[in-house]
Amino acid sequence: MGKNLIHNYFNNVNTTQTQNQRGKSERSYFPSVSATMQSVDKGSDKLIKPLDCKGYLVNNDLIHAPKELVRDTVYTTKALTDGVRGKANDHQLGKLNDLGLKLSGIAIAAYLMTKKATPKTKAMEFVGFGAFLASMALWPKLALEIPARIIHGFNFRQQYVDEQGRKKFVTQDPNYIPFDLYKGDKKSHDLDVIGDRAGIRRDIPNRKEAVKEHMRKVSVQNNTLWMLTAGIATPLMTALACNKAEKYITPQAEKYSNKKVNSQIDKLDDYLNGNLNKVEKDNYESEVLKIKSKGGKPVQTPVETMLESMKGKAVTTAQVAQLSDTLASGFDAELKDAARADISNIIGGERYFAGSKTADAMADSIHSIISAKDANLASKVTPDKIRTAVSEGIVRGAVKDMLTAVGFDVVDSDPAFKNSRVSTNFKSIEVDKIDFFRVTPETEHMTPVDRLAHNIKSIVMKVNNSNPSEDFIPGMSELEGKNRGLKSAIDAKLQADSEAIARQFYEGNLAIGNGRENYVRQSVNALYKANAPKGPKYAKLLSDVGEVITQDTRTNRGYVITDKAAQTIAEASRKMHRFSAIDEVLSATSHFKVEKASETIVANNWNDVSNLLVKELKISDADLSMAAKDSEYSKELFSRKLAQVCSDEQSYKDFITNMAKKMAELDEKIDAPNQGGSGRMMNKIESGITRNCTEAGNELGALGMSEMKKKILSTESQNLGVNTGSLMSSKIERLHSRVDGVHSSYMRIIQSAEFFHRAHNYEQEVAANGGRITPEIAAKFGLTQDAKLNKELISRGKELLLSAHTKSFYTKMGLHNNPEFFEQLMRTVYRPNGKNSPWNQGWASSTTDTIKILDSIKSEKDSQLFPRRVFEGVERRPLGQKLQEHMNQVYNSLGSITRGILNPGQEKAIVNGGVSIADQRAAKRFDLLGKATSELFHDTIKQAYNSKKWMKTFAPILGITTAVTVLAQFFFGKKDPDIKA
Amino acid sequence: MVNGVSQHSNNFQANTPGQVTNADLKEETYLKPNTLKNKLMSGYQKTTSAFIEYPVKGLKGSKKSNFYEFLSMGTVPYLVGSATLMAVFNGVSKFFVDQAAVKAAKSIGNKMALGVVFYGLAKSLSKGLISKPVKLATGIDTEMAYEKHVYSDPKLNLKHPIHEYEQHKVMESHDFPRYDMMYGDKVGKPHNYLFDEIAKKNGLGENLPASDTEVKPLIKDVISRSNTAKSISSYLWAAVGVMLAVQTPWNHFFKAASKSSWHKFAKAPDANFVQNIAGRAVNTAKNIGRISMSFGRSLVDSAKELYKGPVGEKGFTKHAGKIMLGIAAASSILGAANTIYGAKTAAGQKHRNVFDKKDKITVQ
Repeated sequence: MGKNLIHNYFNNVNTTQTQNQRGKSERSYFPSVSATMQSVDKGSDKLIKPLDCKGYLVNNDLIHAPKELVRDTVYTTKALTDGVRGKANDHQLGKLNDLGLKLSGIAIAAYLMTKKATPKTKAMEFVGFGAFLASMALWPKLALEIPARIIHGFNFRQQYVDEQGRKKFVTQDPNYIPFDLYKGDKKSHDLDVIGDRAGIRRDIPNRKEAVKEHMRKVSVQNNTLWMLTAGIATPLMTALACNKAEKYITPQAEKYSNKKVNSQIDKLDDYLNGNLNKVEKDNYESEVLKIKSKGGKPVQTPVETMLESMKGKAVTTAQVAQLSDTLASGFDAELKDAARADISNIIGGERYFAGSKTADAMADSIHSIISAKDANLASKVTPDKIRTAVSEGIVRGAVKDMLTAVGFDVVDSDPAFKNSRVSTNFKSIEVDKIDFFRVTPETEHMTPVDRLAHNIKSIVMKVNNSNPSEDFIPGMSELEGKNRGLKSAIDAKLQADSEAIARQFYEGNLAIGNGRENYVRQSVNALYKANAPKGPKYAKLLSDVGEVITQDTRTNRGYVITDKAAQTIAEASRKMHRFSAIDEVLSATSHFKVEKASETIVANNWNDVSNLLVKELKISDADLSMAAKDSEYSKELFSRKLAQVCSDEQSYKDFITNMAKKMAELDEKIDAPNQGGSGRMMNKIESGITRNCTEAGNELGALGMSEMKKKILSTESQNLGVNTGSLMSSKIERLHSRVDGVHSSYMRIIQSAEFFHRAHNYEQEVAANGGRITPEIAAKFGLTQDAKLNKELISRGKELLLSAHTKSFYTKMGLHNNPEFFEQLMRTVYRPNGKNSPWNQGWASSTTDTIKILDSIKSEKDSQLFPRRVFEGVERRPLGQKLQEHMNQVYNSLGSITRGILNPGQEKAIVNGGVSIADQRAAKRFDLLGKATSELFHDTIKQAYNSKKWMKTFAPILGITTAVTVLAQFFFGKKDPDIKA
Repeated sequence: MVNGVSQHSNNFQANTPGQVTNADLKEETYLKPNTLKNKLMSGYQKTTSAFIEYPVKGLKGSKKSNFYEFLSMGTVPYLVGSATLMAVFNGVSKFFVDQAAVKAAKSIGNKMALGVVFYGLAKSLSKGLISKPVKLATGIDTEMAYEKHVYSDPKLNLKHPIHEYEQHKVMESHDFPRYDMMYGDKVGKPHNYLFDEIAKKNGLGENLPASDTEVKPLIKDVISRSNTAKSISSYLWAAVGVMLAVQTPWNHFFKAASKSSWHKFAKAPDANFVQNIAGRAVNTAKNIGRISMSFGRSLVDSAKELYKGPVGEKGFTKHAGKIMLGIAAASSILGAANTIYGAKTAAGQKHRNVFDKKDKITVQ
């Protein structure tokens, strides 16, 4: 309420007071009665007459809509701030409820979007929510408001803004309808006019009251009807709207993704071919491949992280497996196996882990076994003595390992000394009697580690040039004289390893090679035998003691990853990291282009082609429903409908032209570069695969990971001249196979039409010729002069094209006993008239007509060029020629009943000069047939039936709801003859 | 006509006029204790009336149709709409020809049904996250309910006496809260007992001469703030409910609850009629137990999945569930805190409550 009487009074008092103060200062502060009355008199108009209301009816037409939208937004924002500050009124709080509803809708859509994989399904979540909001607003407008205006002469959803700026529906509260706002400023705001439109008699008293009551009643009825019908109508409108919207979103989403994928391919291609400058390359590696950090430093790989904790420690078999699985993570088991083989090779065999703790533990176990049997013996063989014996055994084993390794790794590395006497001595020298733990006055003050290192070094490095017989390794003095460099290399190795042995012994992780635990056994045996009496009882006890050692060697086994091995594996992991990052980009891009998944380009085009097929064949709803449930009927229907389309020249031409054009869109979308781009996308993917695999394979090979190299890059069937079995070839093959399979399926549809068309025209021409088959007719249609045989060829040919699979070409057709007929059939279908002709000659003229139709089709993008074709040379060949090639290839591959075992590179051609499949891989041959046409048709029919069924169920429900809602309104309002004319 | 459920209506016999005494109808409005039973019964009364009584009146264009009835009928499109939504996915799928499509549609339909249930549950339960702490901190129970009884004069002995009920909240309106329902006289307590309690709790002092006058502006403040918080947060929780319903572990529950998973009762060959009935009952109970267990497990697993996000994803896709949960929780916490803050600070500003003629004044 903007102003009321009290307000007015105060305003006036204020004015008077100010005037008085300005005028005569001696006047009292409080106005006199007369002064007040004077002011009241002056403003009496305002006080006595009712104030004009400030509310107004809202114009919700298109012109005012934007203004209202802004006003509503501002209002809701203010409502929110008022609400938070505790000042919101009921109307504002109601608006906040609407805001909450919208917020939750957006939250749900945003969340569900994350659950969807493709841009289209993501977009559909928001489209769905938008459609829902729109349906909520549209339903009352379309089904209630507009009919009510026509039937009852007024808008029951008229909104108004009250004096406090609150926007409401005029009729929301039937007990308070602000009729005073109907001031007649326009016809729809004039109660008189509304009365006329509603047909309310003019000759009744208080006509306006009758109009008001009419408006109230209709409004209550319509509002109720709205509430009752919205629940059915809104979800249905939403679902139907989404269903329609999807058709428009699919191509847009595809275009968007394709553009994105193409630029990814271009960028990778530039990267692999070295077309990026240093900064761009670093950015690409850090942002896309994520193999480097922002500063250009290589990112630590998971393998490197693992190696950090594994280096120099006992590593179990399971850990080694984990390491190799991580190295080849993201790839198949084959590559993981290869990685395991390579890593095992690099880190060497399993070892026995021992050390001072082993000696302690073993001393306790062995002593308790002995004391259980013979306390006397136990007092002689004390734990200390056992500990010393075990320790000596362990160190002897380690020293033996070290010396052997020096023989192989250092001495043998010099060709002059390879397998020389000194080398053999290193490998065969015995250490079983040496005491590495002795304590001399010189070493007494040392730590045990230093002492042990000192002892080992002083023993094994002992060389006496003046008395070579004192050399620890016989022949070392002589070697030093001949090659000082080698001697110092040997010394360096001995020194480092001796120190490592001492350190690792006390750390408890000294790894000794297979069988070296025998030194422990020997040393313990010697101690035992020196103290134990002879006899079977003690032999048995010794065997129990031996069991302790065996057990320990069994449990404490593992691998050792040396620094050098760790370095190699880490380097390999960086190579694999890059390989796998690039592979990920390649896989993602090729997935979008050709993979069998929803919303890939190939899947979208497949849907388009299938739907067009059903549309072109003009399938009725009754047929659709029958065919969806019965594949036999579906086949029969397809055959009938195809024959129908192919029986008329124009409809046949339209059919194959439309189909071929739609099919050709696939190659255009897959292969064409972005605007301003260049090259062919699929070739870029293919070369990317080749380059990535070659580089990674060679790099891994150089690191000694030959198995992995072989798996990634190998040409296992080199003798056949075909690279098979490697990761590289399988990736490329998959790419080709997907494209070939779809091409062949498409070709099969066209070819089926060609054969149906040829068969129909043959029958027509023979009939016109009085049933006689002249040689010209036979030649024109690629058939024989034998009518009966022709009939059989046509029926079998149709069956073959519509439903045969690879095997059925021969066995299922039941032609084992009639190879001549089979070959005749194959020739009729695939190579009419063409025996012994070059690939592009000798075709039945009927087929040539079809080829000409197809040849005339030009690219959608450039009317000068033929349609683009994936994986074929730069020169584009016409579609008719593609059909010819395809037919030749099928005939060559499957046309004969016997096939010889072929030499590499030799393709059996039934027809001289026929077109052979360039690639020898079996997949090429399997892919030639594609999907059986009648199966493709049946699958499409099933899908079409499902969506039709859905539409046919819900669209009528929405229709009926709308009709009932509109019709019901005719029964609303006052029917009283006293009021209505 | 749907009868009300107030304690008064228990000994009230609508169809036998003449026996009605004035004592039965001494009040037109009754406060209803906020018990679960009362809540359920009120909800039942309101929903059934919205489906039966109000549409009949409304379609006739009755002069007695009012705004409350129009608002109550808002339940109809929500419930009917939910059912329609499920039918859109489930209703037709059984006619689909290939099983993959049937399965896909059913899974979506089931999850959608569950989503609708969770949406409603989360929306209504989450309001407690605001009202409970506010009541604890300020003593103001924003959920205080009363029932309004509309009836015709029993003395008229009408053939079809009118008995209609409306379910209201004392504080549903900010502009016109039903303060009168808060006085203690009707329930045999001191006149201002509730206002005294609120005044004390919010630091306005004790033994005030007119605690109601002091407390009323504070209640208005709380209504505004708490309703704002409820509007926003309850819808956000409703969204979380839907998110919970779309997680994969529910597939286990749907499978467990499906007809094919029902463990059939095997009749013992020599069992008599009573034994068979008992056996069936035990079998049914076991099945229900099994399904309930599966529901519990799926709920826990789904909540985990929602929180953790999909494996191998990162960024928003990975953390969306967590973020949405965080936003919903934050909206409740902030909403409750803001309401309590409002009540506590408004109490400190009681002396500001002087007549300021510059303020716009609404006569109420």
